[in-house]
Amino acid sequence: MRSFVVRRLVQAVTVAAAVTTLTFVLIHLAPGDPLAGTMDDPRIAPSVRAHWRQVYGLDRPLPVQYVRFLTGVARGDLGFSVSYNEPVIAVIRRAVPNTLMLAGTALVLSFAAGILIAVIQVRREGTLTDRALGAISLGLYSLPDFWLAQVALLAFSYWLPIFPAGGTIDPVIHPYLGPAAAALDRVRHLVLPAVTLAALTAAWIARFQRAALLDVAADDYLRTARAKGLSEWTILVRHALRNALLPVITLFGLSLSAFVSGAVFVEKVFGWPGIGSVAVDAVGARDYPVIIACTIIGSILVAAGSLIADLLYMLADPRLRRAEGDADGGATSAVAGA
Amino acid sequence: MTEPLLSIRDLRVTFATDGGVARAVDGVSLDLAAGEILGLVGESGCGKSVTAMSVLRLLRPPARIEPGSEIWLDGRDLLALPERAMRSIRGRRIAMVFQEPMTALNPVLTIGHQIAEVVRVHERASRGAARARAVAALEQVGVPDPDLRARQYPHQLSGGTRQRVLLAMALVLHPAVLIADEPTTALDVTVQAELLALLADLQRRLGMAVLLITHDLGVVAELASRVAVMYAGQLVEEAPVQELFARARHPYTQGLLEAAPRLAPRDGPHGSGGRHGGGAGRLRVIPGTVPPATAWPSGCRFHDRCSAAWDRCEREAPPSHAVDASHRARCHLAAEPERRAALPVALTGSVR
Repeated sequence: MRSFVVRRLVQAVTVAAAVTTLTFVLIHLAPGDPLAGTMDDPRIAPSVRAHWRQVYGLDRPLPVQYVRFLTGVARGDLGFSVSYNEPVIAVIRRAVPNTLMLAGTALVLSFAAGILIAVIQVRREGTLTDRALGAISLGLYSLPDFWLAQVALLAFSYWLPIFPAGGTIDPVIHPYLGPAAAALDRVRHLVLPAVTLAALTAAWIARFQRAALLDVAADDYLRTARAKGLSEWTILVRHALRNALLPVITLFGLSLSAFVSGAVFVEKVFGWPGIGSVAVDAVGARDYPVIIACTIIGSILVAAGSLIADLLYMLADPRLRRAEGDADGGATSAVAGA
Repeated sequence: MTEPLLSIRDLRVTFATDGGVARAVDGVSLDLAAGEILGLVGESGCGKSVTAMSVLRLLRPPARIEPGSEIWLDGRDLLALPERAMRSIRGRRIAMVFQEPMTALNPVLTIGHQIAEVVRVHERASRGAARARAVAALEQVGVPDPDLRARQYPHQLSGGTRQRVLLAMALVLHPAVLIADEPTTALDVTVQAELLALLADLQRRLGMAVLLITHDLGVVAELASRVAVMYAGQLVEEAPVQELFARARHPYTQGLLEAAPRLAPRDGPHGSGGRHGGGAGRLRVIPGTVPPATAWPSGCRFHDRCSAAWDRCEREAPPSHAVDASHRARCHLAAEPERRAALPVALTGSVR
């Protein structure tokens, strides 16, 4: 178990390093650099441009820049952001909690809603309810997230202004609010982006979970459960869902990365100052160190997601745990990876 | 026979299939007395499992129990009960053991939980009390170290132990009727023998009635007091076990007995005197296969595989004739003693 976690962590670090290197090379291959926007102006003397490029080290050959970048990262220094004019670490530190808040809420919402929808669908399989929910989730699933975000914004903060249009808090009144009102203010700002982000994933999970439930529907142990006199609801939730949850856990790891990439658009539309917004702005400004930092954060989240998914998998499926039964003899144990 | 405990009356089950309506069970009437073991035998596809599943109403669409069918227990027609009342019968009055011990247990729940669940759903037992009953039930079916086993998952147990767990689950509430659908088919021979002995022992101790479904006549000979033989959705013969083995009247039953392998050289009424007698040790087979349930043959459903058949068999479906008070056979021969006397001793096994 411990060796498994260690192995996965080593894997995660390797992947993060590879992704970082690739990103580093790719952005330098693209034309322009962080100073292109402000400095590449004919009215600025070439010597001035050269001076600032030298200050930021942009005049060095690429391998040298790369080594300098790596030694910085090794010391925990992600570099200095040109566009924010402050250390990258400060920018990241501000943005990450916002993204985690948004993605975490969306994650919980989407799994809760997706699984619930699937259970209702399977309970009423073949009925109008099942088909209607199926059609809605297929529709949602096919929508682009940036479009849904803008429509949600239009609908619920302009036509029917019940939610704020953007940001994480109301900058004007927030400092004067008591703790409860302040929390409510945060929640009100969270609703639209979180629900938008969750809706698409919930649709995806619902479709997957429904298929997984129908997949186990013919399993023998469900017939045994029926023969015991259990109600259909108990059979569905306690027996079928417990088994049908296993494939859906795999989605958990995938969805974490989906939330991070999905958040790029949704954060931008709702002005949510998270990693997604920072990344988009950084790309626009060709702010190399910030882009790379965002990439590192992204790959860490993806690796964490799949590690968490694997651990959940072990928790949910006793066949994957290395059986404690080994010690008491006679008990056979199916071992993970067999 | 005294008042039966479980009484199946004119059970008809159909399946709507692409190839038409399959009449999987077609007018089966069967009584199970308290405390008896009734063997229900037949080939795959004859409708014996469907009959068993009908008793607990476990069939799912496209299977359909036709109106007019009745299954009586405790003075109530189970087929007329609302689903909720039926649920209180399942696992409490009638329990069932299935044939696949590998897949019949839920892989993600502990053994103890799965047994205790039966207690908790039918009785207002606390978690701890239900748990204790589960452990006691495991002990009763001879699972060593029941306390530990109760905490384990199905994949940690051998096939034989899993089947014992299924038996414990079925018996934890001391049901009046146990339906065992091929309970030992998937197991090793030695484990099979142990389990059959256990089943017989528990049946005696708990005094329950058992409907034992199997295709294995050896199992029937060992356990059952009465045998019912099914073919093509119908009961073709029904008799006490010794009577059936000694004086089977239906050519199909005779064929099944001939087709059963035995270690000792053949003797007795089905001896080696037939036209095609291959001598001791040579198995006879019933020619052909069970016809599809969407198109049962006209007349007697066995006529095209029967070596004793004549034109009447193809035209006219035989009723179930009483051979004596406890023996019935669905064969025209049972009503035509002269024709029967003229036949060679071994009726089946000829290749036409």
